Amino acid sequence: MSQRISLARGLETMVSTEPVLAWRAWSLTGRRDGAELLLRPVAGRSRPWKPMERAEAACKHARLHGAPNVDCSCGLHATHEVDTLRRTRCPAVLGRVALWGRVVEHDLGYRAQFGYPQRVGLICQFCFWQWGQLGSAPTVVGWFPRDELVPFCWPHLEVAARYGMEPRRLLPAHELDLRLRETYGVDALPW
Amino acid sequence: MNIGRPKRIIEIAPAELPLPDPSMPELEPGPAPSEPMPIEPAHAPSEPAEPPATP
Repeated sequence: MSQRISLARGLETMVSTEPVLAWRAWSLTGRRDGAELLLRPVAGRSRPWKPMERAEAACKHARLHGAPNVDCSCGLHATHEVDTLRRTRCPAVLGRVALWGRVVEHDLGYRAQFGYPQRVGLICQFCFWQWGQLGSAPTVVGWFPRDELVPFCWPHLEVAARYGMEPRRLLPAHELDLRLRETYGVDALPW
Repeated sequence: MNIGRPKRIIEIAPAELPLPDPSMPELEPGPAPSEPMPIEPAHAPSEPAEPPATP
């Protein structure tokens, strides 16, 4: 039997009073009229980020360790550079997030114990994949079953429809963008 | 998402939590927002997507 050596051994540990700021992407859910907006992790079935409350990391191995643990992949993920998020699956919202508590810094980003968005903006995920943050502002937000909200630019809405991804309803992106910021009490992302 | 290997651990105890202040005037509860006007996709332009101009 091999004995696993923790990665935490040999890692520098520092103490700070300033939260870390990093990039993060979320998926978005809400009612068909655009009410009850909720930021959700893009992957897995993790808990949503509730408005006006700090998000707290949890791990399915919670009985074994708290999150984030150096030897696990748990924690609230965020990245140093916005372009790292272009590989994210189906992002609807891009933002700057404050992280605090126990934070594990990685080569390309962070895993944190606590977090809250500081700036958010809706993105057309297809534009974002192709061109990054610039030029990814959506025109409409499609409402899908299970309250999934997906922002699109017009050309990519047409492309999505050709592949059978047709929203049940379309809402103006600028109104949902404003409502999202009001819901979370945060500022707009500077484009 | 792969964020590479861990480099260091930071224990952050902020003097002030980076959460919105619920007492700020713009965050006071107001009347329920009106329902956004649904958009008809018939107005959509038919041009293909083009990359944004590079600075």
